[in-house]
Amino acid sequence: MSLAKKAVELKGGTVTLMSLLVQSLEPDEVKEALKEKIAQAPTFFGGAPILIDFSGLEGLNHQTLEPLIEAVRESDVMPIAVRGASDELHEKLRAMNMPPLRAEDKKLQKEDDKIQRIVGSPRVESRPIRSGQQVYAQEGDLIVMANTSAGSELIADGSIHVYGPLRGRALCGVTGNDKARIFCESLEAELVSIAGNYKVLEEIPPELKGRRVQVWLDEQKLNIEPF
Amino acid sequence: MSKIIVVTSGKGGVGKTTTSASIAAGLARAGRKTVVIDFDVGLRNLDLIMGCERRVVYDFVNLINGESNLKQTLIRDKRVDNLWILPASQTRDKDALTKEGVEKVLKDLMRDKFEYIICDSPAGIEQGARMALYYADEAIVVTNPEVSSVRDSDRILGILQSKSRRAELNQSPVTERLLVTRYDAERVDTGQMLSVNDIVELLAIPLLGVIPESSVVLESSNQGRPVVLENDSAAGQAYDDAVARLLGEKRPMRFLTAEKKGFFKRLFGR
Repeated sequence: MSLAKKAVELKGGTVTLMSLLVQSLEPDEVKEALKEKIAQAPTFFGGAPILIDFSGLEGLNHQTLEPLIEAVRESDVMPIAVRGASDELHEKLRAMNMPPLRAEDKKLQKEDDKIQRIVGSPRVESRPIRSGQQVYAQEGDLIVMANTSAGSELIADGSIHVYGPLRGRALCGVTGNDKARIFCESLEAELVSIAGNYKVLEEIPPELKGRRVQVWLDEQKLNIEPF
Repeated sequence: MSKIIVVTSGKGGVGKTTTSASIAAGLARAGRKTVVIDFDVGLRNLDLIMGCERRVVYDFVNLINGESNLKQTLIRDKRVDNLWILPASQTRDKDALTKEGVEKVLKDLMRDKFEYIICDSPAGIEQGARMALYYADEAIVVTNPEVSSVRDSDRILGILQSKSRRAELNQSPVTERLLVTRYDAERVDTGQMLSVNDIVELLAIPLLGVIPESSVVLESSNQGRPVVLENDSAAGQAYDDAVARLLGEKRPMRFLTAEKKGFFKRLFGR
């Protein structure tokens, strides 16, 4: 096995991006309004990458779409993607080199809110969790300030933090929170799982064993990385 | 105030009864009024190790059922003052032990001013073992230097912290102490056995002592003599150290390294 770095690596993450909420079908109106905005803070807006957001704009179709995009392009900002355009327009957007993003599903957002809400106060364990013991932090994080043994089971609706070796099983986000994470001082776990996506000891790369790591979920894939 | 100490391990054959006998005899020899109770109902062994098997009339279950009293049932040790044995029943099973029954006997023993009550637990995590540890103030967890024994000890530690009376009443937790038995320093050096440090690391409880593997243990068991009384043997001395530590004395750990073999010994073996 070569130790050389891979040429590319895919990583998940969030970036802050300004979005431009377009509320008119008139290209000139849009251009004018945008010019005004940029004039107010040229260093901030000038050449900034932005997301064009058409959510809530009615009457957007094949005819009205292109002039609007062009109007933004001709302004001193750098549109990099479009959100809130109906599915029929996606192909046209791609043809214009404007990647379409799916509109934020209202229902999904609500469920997200719910997951956020149920994460309440954490359960803190200061004594070792022994083989055969099961600890469940309902609606919150589980924090263990001691050893956890092989044959123990840590379960949490939220995240799991172990300030000591993690030797048993750790299952977080068991009610579906895929943002939950696992943190431990020394990874020796029999199994780690986030929102039902799991890895057993055998699938954990040996170089990560005994390391201080975090485990998180990205697109249904469990990532384990030292920190 | 009596102290109730359970000698437990989860796994069988690691030396619980040997340890119970030696700890009890050691405490008695130090002048503490001590009784050792065999909780292994149906598989009575402690009387053999203590060499009093021919003097058993009544037993623990008789006492629980009110068929005998303390004076009739306790067997006084002939070698060490201050030492009594409460044998298990051989003809019954573990279900004869109930929380109420065990509590009644322990209260009688406390009233009789016993300073130490040593409970020799059966193997396993079922009724017998749970009854042995239920009323404990302290626990001596006996572990051999191998992974299955360590895991079973870990399991029993979990039960101590969740199923004991102290846990159920939310009192200060049972004091846990680790006693590593059958320790063969030579086999630890060659990697065949876990080291004391490994075991302490895994179980994360304070170490009470390390008893070296020794043929003297089996010999004294067969003769019905607690090994702690064998002052010349390493195992006897190690048990004596453990008893002293139990009483608060500070003693360095001994017998942790392999004996260096001389040239002739290496040449001719043994």
